[in-house]
Amino acid sequence: MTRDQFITRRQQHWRRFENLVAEAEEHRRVRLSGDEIAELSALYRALCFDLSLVQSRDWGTSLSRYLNGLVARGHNTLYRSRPGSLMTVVDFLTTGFPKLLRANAAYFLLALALFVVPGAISGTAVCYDPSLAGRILSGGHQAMMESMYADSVSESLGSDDEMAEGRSIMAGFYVRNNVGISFRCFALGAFAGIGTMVILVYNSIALGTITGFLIGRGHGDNFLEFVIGHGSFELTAIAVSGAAGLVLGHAMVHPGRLSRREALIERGMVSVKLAIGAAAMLMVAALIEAYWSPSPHVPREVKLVAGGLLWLLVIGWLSLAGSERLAGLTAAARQAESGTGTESGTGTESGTGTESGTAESPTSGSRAAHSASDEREPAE
Amino acid sequence: MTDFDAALTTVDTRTEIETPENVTLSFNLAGPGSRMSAYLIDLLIRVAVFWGLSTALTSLIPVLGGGLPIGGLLLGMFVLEWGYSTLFEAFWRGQTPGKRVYGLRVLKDAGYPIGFYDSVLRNLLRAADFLPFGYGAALVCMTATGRLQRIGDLAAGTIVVRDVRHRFERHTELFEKLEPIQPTECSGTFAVSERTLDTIEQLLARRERLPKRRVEELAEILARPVAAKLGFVLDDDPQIDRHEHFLRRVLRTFAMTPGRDAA
Repeated sequence: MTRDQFITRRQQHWRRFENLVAEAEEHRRVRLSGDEIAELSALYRALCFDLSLVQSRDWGTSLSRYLNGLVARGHNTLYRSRPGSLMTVVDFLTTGFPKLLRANAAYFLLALALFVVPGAISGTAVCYDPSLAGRILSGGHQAMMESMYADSVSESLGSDDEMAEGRSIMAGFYVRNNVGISFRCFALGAFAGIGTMVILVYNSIALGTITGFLIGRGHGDNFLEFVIGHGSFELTAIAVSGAAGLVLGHAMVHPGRLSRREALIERGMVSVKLAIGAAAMLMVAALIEAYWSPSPHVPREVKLVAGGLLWLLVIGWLSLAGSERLAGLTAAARQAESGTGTESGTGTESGTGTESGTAESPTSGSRAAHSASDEREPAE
Repeated sequence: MTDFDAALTTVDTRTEIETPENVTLSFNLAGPGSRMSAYLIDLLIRVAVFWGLSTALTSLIPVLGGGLPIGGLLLGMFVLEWGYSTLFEAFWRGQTPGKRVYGLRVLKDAGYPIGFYDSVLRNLLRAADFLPFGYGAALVCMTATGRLQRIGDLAAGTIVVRDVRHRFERHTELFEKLEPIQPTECSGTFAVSERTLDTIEQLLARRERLPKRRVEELAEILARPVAAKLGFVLDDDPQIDRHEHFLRRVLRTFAMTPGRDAA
């Protein structure tokens, strides 16, 4: 067969394929009929054959470039992943995210330590000697802090309207500022985790100093009343984003049995999910911090109790949601055969976890991580 | 072959991907230049959207008070800063408006479209790529990897390719009416490789877009070796397009299956 005969014979099929692919590319969900999809995939396979023929016979760049482009578009269309739905979002936030975090508990605990210990030390020091605060906070900053927390928020000044105005501004500010910090805290983990650690320690010392300073000056109860509610989501989320950054950094420093590139891709998918979860938590925190925490209508006692409950909610959600223990309460019998024990998985082992099985209800930490890493496979 | 080996053997902006059907697809990688240009266009769009948003929202302050509009503006800034590229690339087949202008597209390194998480990952890591300033880390990383990937691309397993649509059209009308060259006119090998015929076709396909004299210049470059191999003597006819005319006759003779009329 000559090139000329080949083109004459095949060209109409290429045109047809081009039209079908263009149709499929138009929409996120493929709107082709079953027959058309079958036709598309048959044409695609024939096209792959055409391309290898052209390549092996050296029939010119114009033809191979054209067919290469068509195969690429077909490949792109046939192998795209299933579009997500609202349910996947809900599932991820309610159970997927806590499970993933527990599977990477070691990173979370390390990030938590980096975020708590330096602040606790500087806070204690400043609490006993508030003059030390000058090393971290400027005089103007100190005065501002003191005036902010000199009175209980429930009794503080400002007409209702002014307060209401300020709240929406602050809601926008908290989202932009805090989520921005958490994203940066995550992203800088790409430098062997060092950027993440720096941001965690820096914020820890700053927050610890402010807390210690206010307690030392006797405004601790006013401060606690303000922060206890949103602190549950906000502080935990920063530690989560730190964990995400450390996952990324660890893949670079110690890729294990994978190549650095592979480790980065595999752990990167885990880390970005943690970062997204942290961002979602911070948005909840921003709403609480803007509208609930500074509200003058809610008495201090209510805020303290509600704040305590919010902490319990966050801790319970992150440590129990989707877990074996929780599932065990409702369906103990069904879980009996799996018996892989309590959650383990320091994250580094997650990729090599238990064999997949039917992962409808992942039961242990390592199983959870396994199904999470499965999710990144393209749905074909 | 690892990227490092690839970088040693060829310095090229093409990358090859083997599909499950055992075909090797080749993609043209996008370099820092076009990607930076696309980024600048996106930046302009973001600034323009921010300006429009702030104008619209400030005009609402007398009606709604300062709270909601300013809060909304801050939220809008957040979305423009972190969400712009992420959402476009995730839901617009791997392109932002800037990338579309320059014909760039983000793909997974196996050649299929990126998913939502891939998009979030590669775009959040811009914060790392940007350091110490002006995407310095990204530039270093791109020059150090065989497939021009910045840090975000490495973590998400993505590449940025030039998404050029090549068309394939034949121009049989340019030669089908001509008289074929007869073997008796030639003293050399009476054959021309398909690859050469393809090059001739490509030149002729561009003839409308080139000045007549330039077409003839290029045709001469092509025609001389072809004529020499055929052993065909080009006459000294002073006609301006004699080389082009010869090439057309070559196509008529070798690129058309004997016995086939115009398809």
